[in-house]
Amino acid sequence: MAKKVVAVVKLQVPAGNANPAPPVGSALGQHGVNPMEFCKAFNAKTQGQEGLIIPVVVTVYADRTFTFVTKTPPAAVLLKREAGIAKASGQPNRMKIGRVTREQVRQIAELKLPDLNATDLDAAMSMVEGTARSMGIEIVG
Amino acid sequence: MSDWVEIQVAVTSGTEEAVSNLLCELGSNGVVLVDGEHGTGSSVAGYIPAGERIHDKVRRIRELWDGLCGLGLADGDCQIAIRHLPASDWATEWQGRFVPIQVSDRLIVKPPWATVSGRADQVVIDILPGMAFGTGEHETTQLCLRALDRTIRPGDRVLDVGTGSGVLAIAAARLGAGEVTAVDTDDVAVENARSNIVRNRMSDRVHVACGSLDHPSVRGSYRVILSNLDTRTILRLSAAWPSRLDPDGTLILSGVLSTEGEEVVQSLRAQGLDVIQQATMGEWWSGAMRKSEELKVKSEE
Repeated sequence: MAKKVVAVVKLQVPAGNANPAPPVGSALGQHGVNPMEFCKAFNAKTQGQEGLIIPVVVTVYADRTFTFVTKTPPAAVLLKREAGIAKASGQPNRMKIGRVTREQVRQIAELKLPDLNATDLDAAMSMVEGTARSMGIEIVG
Repeated sequence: MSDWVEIQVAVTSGTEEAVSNLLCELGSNGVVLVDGEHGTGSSVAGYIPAGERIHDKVRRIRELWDGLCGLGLADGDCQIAIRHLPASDWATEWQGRFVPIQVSDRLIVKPPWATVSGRADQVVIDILPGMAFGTGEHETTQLCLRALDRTIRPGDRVLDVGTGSGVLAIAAARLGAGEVTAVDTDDVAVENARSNIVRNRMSDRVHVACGSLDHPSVRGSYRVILSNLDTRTILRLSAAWPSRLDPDGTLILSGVLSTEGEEVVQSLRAQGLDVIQQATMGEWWSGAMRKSEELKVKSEE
């Protein structure tokens, strides 16, 4: 159990749908990590969250064993779900394709707060609002 | 199996979410986030099977970037790097990095897919690299295995605390232990150890449980105790080791940095354990301890 970290790999992977093709296989394989073991454990852990993308931080140790921690889904994915849209705007400055209320932004910010680089809810809400703007989602109410 | 194209886009905190989202919408099954190092910026990489309309996808990313610039969320040119990844069997390619390891004259640890032509008196252990520590590659595992090989006698009762992949417990059984109890507080490790125990056909002699020294499976005293943990945990458990050790038993400690070896020796001496053998490998220290004569007398009383 004497663990020395040799690499930290940050991924975003569809819940319940990790497979050893890129990005998982290429990102973990280059550190000698068994991607099948990761996929099996990640898919089991994210079962029931299908349809969401899950950020995951994989820590690789000196003997190429590993652990991983899953985070809350990206704000972009939660905003699409709240706005009821499948895709974000390709031209967010010109084409607005959805709306969320301030209350919905607050709920997303509350959910994301533990994972965000923000000290309070206001800062977290302003980060989520920024993401909404970058996707062509308007904030109303 | 197809070739792949990696599309890597330089991002900032204001653009990372939108770019990652677009790469997934363009067909990448997830993304890799690369933190900036040495003054370089962060980036996001997506992966698309080669042959798909890569230029269209790059155009879409540039369009999004222009939109982000229009909103004041990005500035400057969109920096995109395209890299071709030749087809590879990602599920098995990593295996090439694991080779059999000759730990001692008679002990070899290998991944299940490798073959070795060992001598008849050699013991070969199969460990599938996974999440639990102990593939056999690490110095602390090798130090522990060598000390075990020198210490073990046929029929010994052995306790392995913090078993990880189960490599030490399996080695103890294969080297002649009569009964091995292995514990780990991590349930992922317990599952991993269990499958390695089955893989090595040692289920009748190695029992694994989720817990520590206070688990009900840990009963009586042992001729050999293996503990490849870390300095802090070894010291925390220091008062508990002597009561679990036979009068002529050996406690094998590993997972300790060379700079911390003396601290461990002193701490266990205060509990009545004397160091009988020490070894270092790289930056790691391992020690074998026995009950002092004074403690043996006290225990008999």
